[in-house]
Amino acid sequence: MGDPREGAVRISPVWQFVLRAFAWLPLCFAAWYFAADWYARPLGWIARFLVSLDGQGLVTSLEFGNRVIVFVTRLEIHEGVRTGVLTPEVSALVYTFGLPLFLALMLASKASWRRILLGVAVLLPFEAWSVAFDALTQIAIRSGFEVTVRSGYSAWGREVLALGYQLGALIFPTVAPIITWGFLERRFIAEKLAGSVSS
Amino acid sequence: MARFAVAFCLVLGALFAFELSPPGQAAVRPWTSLVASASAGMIREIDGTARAYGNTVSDTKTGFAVSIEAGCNGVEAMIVLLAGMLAFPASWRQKLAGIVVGVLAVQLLNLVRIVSLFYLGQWSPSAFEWAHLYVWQALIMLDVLIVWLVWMRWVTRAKAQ
Repeated sequence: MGDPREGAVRISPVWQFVLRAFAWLPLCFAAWYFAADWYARPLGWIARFLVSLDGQGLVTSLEFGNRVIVFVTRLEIHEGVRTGVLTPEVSALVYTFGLPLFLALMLASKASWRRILLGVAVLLPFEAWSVAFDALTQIAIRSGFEVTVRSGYSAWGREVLALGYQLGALIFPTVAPIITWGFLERRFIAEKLAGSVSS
Repeated sequence: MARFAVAFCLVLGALFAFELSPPGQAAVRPWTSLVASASAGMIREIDGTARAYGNTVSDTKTGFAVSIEAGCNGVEAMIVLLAGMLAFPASWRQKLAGIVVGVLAVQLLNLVRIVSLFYLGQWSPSAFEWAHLYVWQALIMLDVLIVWLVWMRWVTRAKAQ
């Protein structure tokens, strides 16, 4: 009897890992979408804390609904005879699409649930940064001259907000999940994927 | 590992700062126009109805257009890949080979992304939104990770031999 594995196609550990990640990705996207209303809560709370660090007390409360975080501010806006308060809204999905990617990578590398939860906790502040700076730029830059003036931000302060927003929109959502996975699964990468110890 | 992580963050920060600076933007704008032209060229090969103006790709029949903005031109993905390869301990020849192949892989997939979004947008706005904001973003980063892992395995095995 010959070896049944003889003639079988051997897939490298990297591609085995990639195939597993692709298999998990649709399931993780579905779970992320349906859990977004719950996930928005801690995300919003941390984002509100980050916004409050500017010391101006612009945000008075948060509202949640339909996968959206609403920042209720004390800034009044006037439209004709009507008066209201500025309520910038940030989608709970736009800056968290890296979460399903992170989950798929962790499941593909067969990480423990403890590590997965630790990774989710590590990602939350980065995602909250993106949400916070989106809300702040809506308040201090994108809501018109009158609101910009009353927000209390100087020209220099608005530059800082714009930079924070760029970082939160372009870099953190894509890079943070990959770095977090790479850090938590560094042993898996070295032993299984790099092929330096065994393959 | 710690040395790689520190070097990766430093290179990433430096490249990102350069991208946002006026000279960086002066390089990114023509690059984005080039990406738009290449996307329009690919679409013309499929059904011959696309035209590029600056960073916009439009359908000459329906008038539908997509604008290629920051985050959609593949520059950030290239920056992450470059940082990963420059920070990893490898010879300059290996780094150069990895960067050339990696940038090609990222940009080819990015062209597929833009062309697919161009058609998705004309078919279903909600499918376009999902693909644009969530799915393709994750797939491009997964592409970067795959390229880096394959390259890193090649470098490590070459070193072992």
